[in-house]
Amino acid sequence: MTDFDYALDLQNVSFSWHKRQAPVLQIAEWRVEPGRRIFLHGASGSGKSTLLSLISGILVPASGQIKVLGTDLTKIGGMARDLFRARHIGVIFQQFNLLPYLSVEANINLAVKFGKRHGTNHNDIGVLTQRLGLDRSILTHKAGQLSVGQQQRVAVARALINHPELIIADEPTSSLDSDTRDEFMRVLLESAALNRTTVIFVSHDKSLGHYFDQEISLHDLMQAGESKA
Amino acid sequence: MMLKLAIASLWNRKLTVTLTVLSIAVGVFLLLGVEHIRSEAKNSFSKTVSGVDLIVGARTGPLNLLLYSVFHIGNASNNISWQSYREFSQKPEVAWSIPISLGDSHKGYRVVGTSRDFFEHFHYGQKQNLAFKSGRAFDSVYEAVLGAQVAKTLDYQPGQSITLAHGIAKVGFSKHDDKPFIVTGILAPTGTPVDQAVYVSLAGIEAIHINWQGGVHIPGRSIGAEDALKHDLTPKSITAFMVGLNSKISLFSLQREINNYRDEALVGIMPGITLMELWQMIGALENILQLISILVLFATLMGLSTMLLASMKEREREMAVLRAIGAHAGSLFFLIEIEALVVTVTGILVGSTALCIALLTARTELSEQYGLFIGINPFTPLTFQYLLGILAVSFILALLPSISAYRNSLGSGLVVRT
Repeated sequence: MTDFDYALDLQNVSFSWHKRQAPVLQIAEWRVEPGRRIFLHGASGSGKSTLLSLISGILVPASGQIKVLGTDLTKIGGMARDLFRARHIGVIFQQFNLLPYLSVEANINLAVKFGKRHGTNHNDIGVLTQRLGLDRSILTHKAGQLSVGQQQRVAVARALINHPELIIADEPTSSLDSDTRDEFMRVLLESAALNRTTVIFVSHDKSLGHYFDQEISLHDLMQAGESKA
Repeated sequence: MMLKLAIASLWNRKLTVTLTVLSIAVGVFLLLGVEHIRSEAKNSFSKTVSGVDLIVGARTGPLNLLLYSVFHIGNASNNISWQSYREFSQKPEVAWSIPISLGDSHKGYRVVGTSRDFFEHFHYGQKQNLAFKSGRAFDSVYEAVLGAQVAKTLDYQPGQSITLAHGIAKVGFSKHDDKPFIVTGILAPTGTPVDQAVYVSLAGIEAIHINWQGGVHIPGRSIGAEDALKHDLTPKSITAFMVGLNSKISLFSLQREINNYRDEALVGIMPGITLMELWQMIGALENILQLISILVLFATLMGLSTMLLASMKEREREMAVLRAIGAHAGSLFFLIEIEALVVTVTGILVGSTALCIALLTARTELSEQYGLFIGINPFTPLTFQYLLGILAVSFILALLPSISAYRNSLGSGLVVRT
């Protein structure tokens, strides 16, 4: 998976929820080099989450090409897209990342199973959670019993467990207070840097921008497309 | 993995899931219970009497005669005279006959006055003879033979002395305690009402009623057991008698003769035919019961589908998380189906277990009160077909929530749209 020039390569992408509706998202071109940490901001409802769904292969565009890590997601089937996501993309949500009725370890293990990474064992999970500043004893706790801050870190652990080349985070800090937020950002970006993982981080909170290599607004991204088109 | 996930997710909703499991258990209990009792009752009834060509009693409904003479259910409306019995039992076409005299009891078990011919000629099941587990048939007036269940329940051995009570209530007030009987033999179990009765000679029945009139003990006219033997102990009447013929050809003519008998109003019935009439009567009721139990089960499976469908809204988050970590939409479809099947299988297990326990508890009651001998194992190849059917219906009804999960997960993105 090293034979690609761009971690992300979008061309003439257009998406609408229903066929006859006007597209809610149009991007003529967007390229991200591997290992870059991108901060994507925009007003709520501007289509940030939709864009992330397209990149992760959960939604497919009406037209255009979405190349992730060299693989064109529009050219492969649904099952292949799902497996691709499981193995190569780590996803972190705003909150409720975990299944509350499973233990922390079972939650992380679920990602391992879906990614079919049979080599990953109990110890790998323990090492990773420790590196993220969580006590190993937390692994046996029910995810629903953890604080929001702890849950978000477990979410990072789960996103990283399959050693993905790309991490997508959708407002992961919006339910955290400022202290835990800074800690979360440090942990996330340090872990990403370790494997030169590309990070696409979405938020409407521009004060987080200084953590990243590049800040870009979704509005500009779509405008650029229009002016080019 | 999906099975583990399904179980964990169900466990997370244990209250609604438990209620659904219980409702399915009730449905399964009802369906299998009705089916089991239906087939067992038929089986038990039809194997009760075999090889008897005619049963003759005072004129009454054929069903009534069959029920009181063979199944010991209900009471005879009238007796028949000894002369009538003598006349018919000595006809050339009659191979053997068994007189029956009912009306007394021992600790709630019916006492049957009969002759030694009973042990020789009565058949049950597939033309099986009665056999003695221990001891021998009665010889003299104050001797008795016990059915297997009577001896087992009361823990009697040959040599035991018992007193008979007048009437058939479990607690008899008027007892024939001046004339005790000695148990001489115990019959091997048959799984028919034979097990539930005490057998004595007709002379014995006659002896204990010598100083009785109209069912009441006449005071001041007490006649001791030894003195009674000096009386003529030929009965004046009996309740009914069973007939075996030399040849089936004479069956209908003898039956006609009995039914047209001038001296006394008699009726002769063919037990097999009367049993069939009984089943025809009960058949309609049976079908309704079965239909109801199927509908009840269907309703509970609809309830299961509703429960799953109603939970889909609150589980959108769960589904989105699973999708994000790489589950495909098909996996979510199967997750819901697996949940439905887990709930159904649990319901089946709970319902079947409850049924086995219920049968185990009720079998004594059923055999003693209704002459029904029900096996405690409700599982037959047919039952398993039913259970497979239940699983199939459950799968089909769960398609609705499963397809809903599938479509939702395809149609929405990473974030739940609200």
